[in-house]
This record gives sequence, structure tokens and C-alpha cells, in this order.
Amino acid sequence: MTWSGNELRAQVTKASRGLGFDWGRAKYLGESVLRAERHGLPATQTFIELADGLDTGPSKLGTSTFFQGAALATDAVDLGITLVDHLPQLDFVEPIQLHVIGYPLFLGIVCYGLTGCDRALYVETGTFQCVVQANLIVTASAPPFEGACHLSTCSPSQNSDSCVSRFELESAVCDKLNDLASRVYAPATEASRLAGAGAGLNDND
Amino acid sequence: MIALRKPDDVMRLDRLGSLHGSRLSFLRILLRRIQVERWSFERTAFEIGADCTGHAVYTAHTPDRAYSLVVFAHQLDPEHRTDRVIANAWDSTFTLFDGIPTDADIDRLRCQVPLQEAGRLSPSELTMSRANKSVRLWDALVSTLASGEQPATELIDETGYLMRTTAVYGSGKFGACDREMILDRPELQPAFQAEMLTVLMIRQFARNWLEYEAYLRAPGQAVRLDDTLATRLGIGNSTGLGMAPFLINHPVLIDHWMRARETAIARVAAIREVMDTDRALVMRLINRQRNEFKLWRSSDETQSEAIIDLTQDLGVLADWFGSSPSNQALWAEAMQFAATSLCFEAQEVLASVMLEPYAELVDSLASEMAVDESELRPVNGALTVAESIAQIDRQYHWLDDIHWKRADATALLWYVSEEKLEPRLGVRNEDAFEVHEQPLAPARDITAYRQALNLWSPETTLAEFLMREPEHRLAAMRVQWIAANQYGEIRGNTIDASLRPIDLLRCKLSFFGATRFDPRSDRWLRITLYRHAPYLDQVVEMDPFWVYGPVQ
Repeated sequence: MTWSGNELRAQVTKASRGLGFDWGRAKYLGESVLRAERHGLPATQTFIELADGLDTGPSKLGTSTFFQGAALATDAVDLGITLVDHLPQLDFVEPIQLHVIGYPLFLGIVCYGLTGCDRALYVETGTFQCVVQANLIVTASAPPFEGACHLSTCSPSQNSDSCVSRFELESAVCDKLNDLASRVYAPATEASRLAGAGAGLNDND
Repeated sequence: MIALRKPDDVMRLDRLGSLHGSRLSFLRILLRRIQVERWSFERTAFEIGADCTGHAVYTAHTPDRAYSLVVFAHQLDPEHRTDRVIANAWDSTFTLFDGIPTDADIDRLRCQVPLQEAGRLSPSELTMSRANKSVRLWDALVSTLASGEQPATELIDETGYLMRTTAVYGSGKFGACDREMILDRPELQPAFQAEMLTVLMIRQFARNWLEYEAYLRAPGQAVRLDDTLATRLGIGNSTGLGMAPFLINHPVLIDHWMRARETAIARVAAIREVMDTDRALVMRLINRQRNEFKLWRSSDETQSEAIIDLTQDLGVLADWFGSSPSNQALWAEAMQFAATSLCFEAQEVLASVMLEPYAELVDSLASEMAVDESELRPVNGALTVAESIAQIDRQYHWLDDIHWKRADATALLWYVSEEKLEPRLGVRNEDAFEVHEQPLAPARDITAYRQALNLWSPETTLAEFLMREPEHRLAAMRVQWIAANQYGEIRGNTIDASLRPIDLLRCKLSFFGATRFDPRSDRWLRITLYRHAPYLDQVVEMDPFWVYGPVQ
């Protein structure tokens, strides 16, 4: 099935909430997956692969993770969101090393985290390299699913790659996403149908 | 320039529930563009059969592009006719196609558009909509026209529309084109322009369909609807709770809408010496508005009383103008008088009407009413707890007036039903939907965020705080957005037992340019769009003040 960007963002947001994340992180994930997918990174697939193992509670990280470059193997959601919260305080003069699980999603989160500022980050892991900045992820190859990466600051890219506007998702991914999203909906009951919207069932004039 | 009215005064729920359209209403922005750019319209298909079903296509030609309304006309069993989102069938269904559809496009759309939410659109479609006939008016008008007569004006005014839309979906819904993909088109940059164009062309179709049905009933005898009478017909719309979350979920956009209107009001109020012609125009328009309000009916007791108060207060306002010979700072003086002597509805009518003579001060603000929400920043984690508390205390001092220990203060909860994903309101502790609650109670959530911050040392950063208390992230982001967008926050508790959700709906609908607000309960209402507006072939020559009704 082909989805619009609005649908993808909304459904990932609801699926994240359905997983148990608070609405704030759910919103981050909707925005992040869309940004990654717009630049050709399979963040939806990554999110679904990680979903059952994601910890939706408070962060397991410490602030020192970033300031001391501790290379803990951490899921993309906790690592990515905590990193972007700390971005204003990080100058990356010394490259920071992190061990990322769920690279495509992680890059989407970093991209979202840079929204509204003119900074750019250079991300490197093995042979994979990319530049991430607000609304732009520039990469020449597909990222690994997991790996140790180095982050450093770099000049913003002037690249203006055309973005993907429609998103072809595998049916298994769609099904899983829809299933998670459906958890935010209240069950249909007759009482809800009659009273919840304040109208009768026949509202003709 | 005179200072803008304070957000604390403007963003009260009861004032939002009293707003009226203005030069900055989205449908008026669209019609002005059509007039200035001299768009042309053509009906390129009207394949409606003897059973009154089939399809039609109306195309708008702009200087650079074409947009086509593709219509599917159906026969609807009366027992299936309902305005609720949970409906599965309608009298007619529509999509706004980007360009001119081929036969293959029509065939594809015929399989999808009539299904509405169950169908799938493509990037070539900008909106999807449906409408039902007014049971009160449709059959009566068909019979009258078929007999060669024209209907009474009173009959037309009683309803005010031939058909009612029950949803107009845009921006990527059900596979349609994302708004981000068309933001480079000047004609679609202001908010909801594709939706307004859709409804404008639906109105034309409704008239054509009515006249066609009358013709089919009596081919040699039927007459077309008189132009003057037809102009009194707008398009109705039934709006329920689905619109309310929009105002809460898009605070920066709402700030831009409200700020544009408030800026326009302040610019006009700052005029030191008002010209006689401008004063006279506003007087005439208020009179036209009063006449129009006399035809405004509502079955809602609160709204009915508000209409009575409004018409009385507009009389008081007219008397005030009559006893105020000076044109010096006239609008500022009038606003001051209104603020102290008139009801909210009358204050907002004055605020809107006094903008009318000043296109050069007002109309350019339309370009400031759109926001690229993909540019909104996430939480700035470098702020400290102390700075965040100070920010809340500056922006949200009104929260102190809410007593959260009262059961009524948290009596309601917003949820989305799995039944066609209809947004609904439930009663906390009764409906057992807490686990499904939507984040639509910023007053409560920011209060909780403030209380949580209090327990942390002042120099702690938000980044550290959110690592341990992630449930406050949405509130933290909202507080930071509101810092620069003060008109984006409703000063009220959206889960209080006393909430009238229709106040939220009224605010948004007034920006669309809706009139004749008719609450049917505290949770949904009917309105009319484009009443007194020109039809497609008349826009270029339109009276700029058409919305006020005919000159008496």
C-alpha cells in the first residue's frame, strides 16, 4: 500500500503511543520516521523491528553518555531522543562515539532534533557516512541496522536532494503499524456512539 | 500602532465561541484571488442520468494551473442519510483533482471517492468530501421549479443551503496529496484554500443538480432558480468534535490566524482620522449585517439568546455612532465602547466590520496565516528547570484560576473511537476510556509539568529532567512553542464539565468564513458557507461585501 507523508507520520505517532510511549515521544517518532523515509531510509521497517524490544519508560542513559562518549549499545529511540535533548549543549569538537541499534530511525530522530537550527552533524560508522541537518539526510549508501558510530560537527550540506513523497510499505509492516496504532482507539460501544459525539444517529434537516 | 488585544482576553473560550468572519476569512481570501487573477470556470462533464446519478466535472482555470472538482451523484436511501462521521453513504461525493482528469482518472475515482474513508486517493487528489441534500428544502424546491414557479424567499432563508457537506478532508488524508507538496503554489499557500475551492464548486453543482432534477420532473415546464434567490443559498456544513482537536494540536498555526486578525484590528484602530466615506461604509455594513442576523435561527437556547443580545447590542452600537460626531480615533473609541458596553458577539462583529474599508491595511496579512509546521523545533533541552518554571509562570498565570481538586475540573476526556476513528468526549470514571485519552488537555498537563519541575533543582537542564520524567515532553514542547506564539493557547480548561466544545468549533469555522452558526448540541453545529456569495461565473464581478447580504 502507498501512504502519504501525513498518513505515515500520524500512524507512526499512534503506533508509538500504542506501544506505551508518552504522547511527546510518540510525536518525535512520527516526525522522525517521516524525515528518514523522505530521504530514502527504511525507518518504518526499523521501528517495527525494534518495536517489541523498546523500553517505553524513563531513559536508561546518563548524561555522561554524551559528554564522555560512553559507547553503550542502546536502542535508537532512547539514544536518539536523549541525544537531541542534549544537542544544544554538545559542540562535538571531540567526536562522540555511540553504539546505535536501529540506525535508520536514529538518523531520522537526529534530523528532527536539528529542526530550526543551522547545524549539521557528520555521522560515520564503518564504511557508512552521512550528513544530517534539519530536513536533510545526505548519504551515499544504506546505513547498517546496528553499529558503533562517530558523530562530529560539519558544514551544512548544500545538497537539495528531492524528497520521497509517497511511501510504499510492505503489507506486514502496514499490518503491524496499524495493529499498534489501533491500541489508541476506544472500543466501539453503543453508549459511546450515542453520547460521545453529542448527536443522534439521524441528524437530517 | 495600537497594542494588540491581550491573548488572555482574546483566547477565552467564550470569546472564541463568539468570533465572526472577516476579510481574513479563508473563503474571502480565495474569492479575492479568483477575482484579481480572473480565474475562469467551466463545467466539462455533467453525465447525470434520468435517475439523477452519475458524475460531473467542474474545472477552475488559474493563470498557471487547473483544478477540477469531480462529482459523483448518488441515490441515497433516506434511512441512511446522516451527518455523522459514522455514515457510509451520501447523496453526493467529491474530490478536488489536481489538473484536468482523464477518463481513466474518472474511472479510478469512481471506484474510490464514493467510499470516502474506505477508499484510497492518489497524489493527484487534493481533497475529498461528501454532501447530503437538505431534506427541508430540496424536494420543496424541485417541486416548485418543476411547476414553473419560483420559491418564496422565506423558504430559502429558513434553511439557507441546498446541500450540507459533512466532511472536507485535505492534506494527505486517505492517500491524498500532502500539503507540503503544494506549498510552493501561491494560490494554495493560505490555509484551507483547496478545501474552500472544493466547497465553492460544490455549491455550483448543488444548484445545477437541483435545476436538472426539476427539469427531469417536468421538461417542458420547469424553470431555473432565479439568480437572486440562488445567491441566498450557501453550502451547509455539519461539524462535530473532529474539528476541536485541530485547535489544540496546532497552536502555532492558530496563533498565526489569531495574530493576523488582531494585527488587522490594531492597525485599523490606530487610524487617527477616519474618512467620512469609510465611516459610512461601516455603518451600512452593520445595517446589512443586522438584517442578515434577523434571519439567523438557532434551535440552541444559548445561541438564540446570544443572537437576541447581539442584534440589540448592534442597535446600541448604531446609536453610539449616531451620538459620536468625531471621526478622530473613531475605531479605537468604538472598540473601547464595545469592550465595556456590548456582548462578546457584538464586539467581534464590530472588530470584523471595521476592517472592511481598509483592504490595504488588512489583506496582506493573509500571507502570514500559514505555518510550515515541519519547521517547528522540538524541545530545547538546554533550558534549566528554573527557566522553564519562569516561562510557565509568565505564560500560564491563568492556570492558577483552575481548581483541579474539583471533580468537575477533570470531568471530561477526549478519545477516538475505533468506529470510523470518530473523535468523542467521554465522562471520566464512567466511560472507562482513560487509557485511550487523547492529549487534548493542555491546562491540566502543563499544571502537572509545572508541579513536576518544582521537585527538581533549579539548575537542572530539561534534557536531564525529561530523561527521568518523559511523560512531560509534550507539555515542555508546547510551553516553548507558546513562548513566541501567545495566541496559540486557549485560556481555558478543555476537560472541565462546563466545556462547550462548540466554542472551539466556532473559532475555526469563523476563520473559514462560516455564518449562521446553529449549535445542535454542545458538541456539534451546523453552519453555512458562501451564503450570498457569487456563483462561479460571477466571482470576477462580485460585490466585495457580499458576505453581509444584499443591499436593502
